[in-house]
Amino acid sequence: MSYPPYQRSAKKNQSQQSDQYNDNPFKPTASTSSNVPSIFRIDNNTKVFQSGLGDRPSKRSRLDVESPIRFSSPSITPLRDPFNFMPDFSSLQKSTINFTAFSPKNDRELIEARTKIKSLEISKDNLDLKVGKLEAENKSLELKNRELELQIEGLEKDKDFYYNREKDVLKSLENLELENIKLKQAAASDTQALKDKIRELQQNLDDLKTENLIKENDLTRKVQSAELETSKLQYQVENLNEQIRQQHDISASRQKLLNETQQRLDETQEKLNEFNHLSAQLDQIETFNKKVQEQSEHIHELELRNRDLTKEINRNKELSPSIQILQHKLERAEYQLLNVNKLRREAAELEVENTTLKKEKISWTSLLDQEKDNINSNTPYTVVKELVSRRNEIELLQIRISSLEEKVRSKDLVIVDHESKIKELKYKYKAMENKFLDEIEASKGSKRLLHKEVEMLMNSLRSYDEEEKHLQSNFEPQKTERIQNLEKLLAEYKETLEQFENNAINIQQKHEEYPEFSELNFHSLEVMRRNEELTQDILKLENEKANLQNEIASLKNQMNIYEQTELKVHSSELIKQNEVLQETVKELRNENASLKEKIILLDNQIDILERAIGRGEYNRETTRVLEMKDNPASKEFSMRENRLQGLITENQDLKTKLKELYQILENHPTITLESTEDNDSEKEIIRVFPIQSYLNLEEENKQLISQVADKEKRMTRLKEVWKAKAQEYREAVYSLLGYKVEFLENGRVRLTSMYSEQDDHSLVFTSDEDDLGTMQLVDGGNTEYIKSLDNLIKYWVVERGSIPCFLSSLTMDLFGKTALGPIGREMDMTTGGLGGNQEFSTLE
Amino acid sequence: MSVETKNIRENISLKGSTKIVVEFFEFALNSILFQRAIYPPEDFKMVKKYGLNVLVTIDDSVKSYLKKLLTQVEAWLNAGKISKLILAIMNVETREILERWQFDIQIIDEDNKENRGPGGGKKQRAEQEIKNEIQAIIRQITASVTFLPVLEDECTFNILAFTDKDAEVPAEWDDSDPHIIQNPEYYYVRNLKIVLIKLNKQLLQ
Repeated sequence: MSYPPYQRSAKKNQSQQSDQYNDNPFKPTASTSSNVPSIFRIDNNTKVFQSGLGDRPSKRSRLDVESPIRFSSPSITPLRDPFNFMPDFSSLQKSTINFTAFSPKNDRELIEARTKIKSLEISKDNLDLKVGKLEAENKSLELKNRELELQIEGLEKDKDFYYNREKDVLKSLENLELENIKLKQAAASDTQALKDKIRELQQNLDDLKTENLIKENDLTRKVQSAELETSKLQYQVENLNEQIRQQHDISASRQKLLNETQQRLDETQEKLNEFNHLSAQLDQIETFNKKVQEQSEHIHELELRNRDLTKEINRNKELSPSIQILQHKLERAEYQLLNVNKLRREAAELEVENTTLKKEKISWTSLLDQEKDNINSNTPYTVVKELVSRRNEIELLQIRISSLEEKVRSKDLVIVDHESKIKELKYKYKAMENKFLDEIEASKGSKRLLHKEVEMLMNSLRSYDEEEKHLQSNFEPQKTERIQNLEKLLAEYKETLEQFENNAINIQQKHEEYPEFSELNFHSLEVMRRNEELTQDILKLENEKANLQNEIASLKNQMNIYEQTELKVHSSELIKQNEVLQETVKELRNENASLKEKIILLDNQIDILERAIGRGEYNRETTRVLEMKDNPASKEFSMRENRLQGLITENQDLKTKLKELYQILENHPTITLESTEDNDSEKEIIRVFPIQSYLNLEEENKQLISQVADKEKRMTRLKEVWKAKAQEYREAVYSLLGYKVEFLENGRVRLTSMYSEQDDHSLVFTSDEDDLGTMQLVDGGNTEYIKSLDNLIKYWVVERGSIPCFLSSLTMDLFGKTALGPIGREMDMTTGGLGGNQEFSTLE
Repeated sequence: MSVETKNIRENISLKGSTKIVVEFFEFALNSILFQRAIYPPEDFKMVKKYGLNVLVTIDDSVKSYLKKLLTQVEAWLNAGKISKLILAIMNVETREILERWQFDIQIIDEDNKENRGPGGGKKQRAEQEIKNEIQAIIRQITASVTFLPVLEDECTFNILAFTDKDAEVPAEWDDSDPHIIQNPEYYYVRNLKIVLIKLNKQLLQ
């Protein structure tokens, strides 16, 4: 890009150069090209000569650029140049002309003019001389000029030569510049590509850095986890060491036993040897042999025991984790024991309560037995029922009493009225009494009679009563007799009454004699009667009242008795019973609550136990937990353990190496870290990485290889599946559509009908980009076959654009031609065959 | 907590002969291995069984392991010496037992006799019932994935058999830890976790 301005400047320089030639101020004065450029050339030539040694176009061009300044310099000093003198000379000629045209007016002026002329002539002479000199000079100069012209010609030739050369050089420069541009473009593209590459690399670097970081993190994590595991394992190892120590102790004791037995054996062996020496005594040897056998058996037994014990130890080791569980269970059992104690206490309390209740019940039952006759029942229900019924009775009676009392009150009121009347009447009566006392005394005799009668009647009544008592069986006849007697007595009584009436009439008559008195008497009689009636009523009422009061009293007494005996005692007892029952109800409720709590507790226990079962706890006495030795988990863990073991050893080795390094550092405190690195690194680095790390890496490599193998296996599996599926698909297509489909290169498909006569009778299809199946007639070397199908192709594919129809009609056609054809044709005469005929008819 | 236990505590019962039970174990264990993603899904193939599409492993090592295991389980079933079968899923890194699928087995001989005794029609009907029951169980296993937590870390499994003390034990088998999900330090938390994870499958033979 930088080239065009350069080119332009170069051109411009050229044009400038040409312009400068035109604008040269010396051009009009020196019209000849030989004069003007002579200066220029001299000037240039000097420069050319100066630059001629360099002979480089670029410098030349630069020189050209600077040239105007150089042209200007002669213009500043024109007088120095001999050619600039010429115009002055011409102006002088003009002045002489002006002198001739001037005419003299004065003598002075004439004289002055003559002197002037003379002087001027002198000067003219001088000047002529000068002119001659100058002409000579001019001639010499002309000579010189010719020489210079010759020189100029030579220089012009040189110039042309150089100009041509410059052109060539410019051309070459242009070419070079073009090349340069191309190179620059290429370089730019290269730099771009390189920049892209750098970017990519930087991105890669970043990715790698991030990956590295992630990996570092992972590794640190892994290392941490590994360290944790190592710590765990160290702990386990310590535990195991302890166990091993214990076992060592046991085994030491066993060893002792074994040694003892060994000693015994040795002894016996010795003895045996001795006995062997004494071979004559065979029986003894036999016995010793037996002993030896026994000993060996004993040893065997011991060994077996030893094995059993080791097994037991192993089992115990296995069981050791379950101790915690057992402790947990123990705690739970203790808690349950506490619960049981509580329950026992509760049970004792309940028993005490039960005994008290039983006692109460016994007292109740005894009481009820005592009261059985009264209550007719011994159950509390009936007792209460009776109590209630009796209370009801009492209430009813009280109501009756109240009603009766009301009656009594009303009667009392009547009585009070009557009493007031009676009092009034009594006053009257007292007044009258005194009057009638005599009459009463008179009637007393009859009264006595009546009394006698009454006594008689009373006697008869008594006798009657007695008789009644004594003679209950002969009651009725005697009664009739008695009634008759009584009737008689009644008659007598009537008679006497009549007598009294008569007496009364007499008295009345006497009263009539005294009308006022009689009236009063009559009135008093009435009053008397009424009084008597009233008294009788009162008596009756009083009797009734008394009776009622008696009744009430009796009832009250009864009630009191009941209340005292039954209600007071019984009801209190009932209340007590009720209280007791309520207490029992409360107790039962409490018991219920406690039982509910127990249920909840038991539910919790059930829950815990279910969870335990869910967790997988089981009865260790009856069941045995078994697993296959070769299970996936153990495989995985063994692999991991191996890896861990490797890592542990690697870690240990590294630690030892580190220690060694530290020791080296401590031993040589003057050595700084860097120096140690420099000094020992070469040796140490080789040793820093232990063999184990290499082995670990190898192990990892193996794993990776196995992984790769797995993946390959999977790949092959998938491929097999795919192949099988593809085959299946093709078979399906073959059996359903009657064409064998072969996929060729470039997305071409070859179809071969199942009824084709020859193998090369096939059709090849290629798929369009628009997925329109265009058919290409590239069959398996049988063009005639395709030609034979031209009609079908034209009809179905070209005109109708349906390949499926073409294929099916072809199938039908081919089927007709096969050995099975005739049967098929016969069968399809009505349906498919007609269709085929139709197709052919249309084709034709 | 109690709600969760209620939701999760399930009892699945099954009646049938030894062969059916062993077959059921095969498919149940396989579907657990698939559903809990112990092995990648490519390691399984679809098989029609019990009117369901059941996934069965094609990994040779797992296949041979299960085959060996189940033949021994069948022997124990015939002898009536097995009480439980447990599939324990554990974290490979930490060896922590994450899940424990427990199949309780109760062997009732009388029932069997009754089933075998009278006419064949009854037996056939029983078989159909068993098929339906097994179908339900496999469905339950499949459904359990919805509420079980996702196993994020790499996991492996082990199968334990709880047998009677007097059972015959071949050389390939050895005593094992019961793989109880328990950590005394975080007992209750663990317990909750167990409750979440645990499935109690009861089998009645």
